[in-house]
Parts: sequence; structure tokens; C-alpha cells
Amino acid sequence: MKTAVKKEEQKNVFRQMLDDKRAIRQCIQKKGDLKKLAETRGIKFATPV
Amino acid sequence: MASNSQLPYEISKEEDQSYTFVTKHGITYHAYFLDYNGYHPAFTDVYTFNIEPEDDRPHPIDKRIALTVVHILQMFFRRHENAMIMICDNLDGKEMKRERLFSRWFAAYNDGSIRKYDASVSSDNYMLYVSLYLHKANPRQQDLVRAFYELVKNELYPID
Repeated sequence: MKTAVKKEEQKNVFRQMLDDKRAIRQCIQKKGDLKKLAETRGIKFATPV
Repeated sequence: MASNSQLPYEISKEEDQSYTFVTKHGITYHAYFLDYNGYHPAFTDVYTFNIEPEDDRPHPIDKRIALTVVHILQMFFRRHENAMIMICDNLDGKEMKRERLFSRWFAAYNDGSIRKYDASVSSDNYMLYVSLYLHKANPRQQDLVRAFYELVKNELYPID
């Protein structure tokens, strides 16, 4: 049971990333507010360059 | 006059923390990084990277887009501690196209300094493809690769 829960958590990490990517894509294409999207979804944009 | 066809596009840093560039066809791209630490605490100095056009309609192949992406990532990996995780699925076909395009760019432009680790999984009705990119001089290389495969091992299978 614990292994099954851990597996689901790991898949959810990747699933969450993909869902965030899709939301960002829609926001960009609709010229929406990325900052607001980040706050709403808890996405951490970064500027490492 | 010198041709700029072999040069990356000029990149602007936006207030929303994305980087933008405009192609010769007038299409604006947003390039962005997400802090992977927000998804999993084991991954510090690890980011996911993506580019998105504002216009989703098909447009001509433009080599300078690849050069621009390569330029951004070259700057990114100048800091050897930086690493990158890319993920895509094949639900709508677009992600797969992105993954293949990115893999082509990696094969064409990597000078050997960047290492790539791949894994994939099939779920009910889709495939997930996950890759870790890091500089060969990354001081946490072993830890990151171990953490990456720990994250994927139960469901994902390493690709040789």
C-alpha cells in the first residue's frame, strides 16, 4: 500500500509539471498574465541566466 | 554586410520572469525556467526549461530559433551546478514533437560537456519521457543522477 502511494506521488510530480506546462502554454498563447498564473498555481519561475 | 543567419536572436528578460525573442517571421517566443525544487525537495539548482510561441500556428523552420535556445542553455550551464529536467508526454502529439526536436538540438550542438540521462514510462493511455541534463563538471552529479533515478525507478525505465 505504501509503495503504491509513493508511486502515485512520483507520477504526480511529473503529472503536475506537465499540467503546469500546459497552463503556461495557454497563458502565453492568450497573452495572459504569467505572474498571476504562477501565484494561482504555485509555479516557481526562475531566471538562472 | 555580414549575414546574421548564424546568430541567435536578441533575448529580452521580461517582468514575468520569462525570456523573449522575436523571429524573422515576427513570432514572439517565450523561454522560461521553472525551479524544480518546487516539485521535489531533493532537487536544488535543478530547473525545467521550455519555449512557447505566442502564435501556435505552423510556421517555417528557422535555424536561428535553435541557435537562440542553445545560446540560452550555454549561459545556463556556465554555472556548472545548474541541471535541467525535461519531461513530455504524447497525449496530444505536440509534446513528443518538442521532445524529438530538443533531442535533435542536443545531439547537434552538445560539445560533449553536457550529459543526458533518459527514462520513460507507459501509463493507461500515454507515454511519459523524462530526461536529466547536467554539466559533466557538476559537483553534485552523482547525487542528482541517483535522485533522478530514485524518482523514476518505481514506474519509469531507464533508456540506454
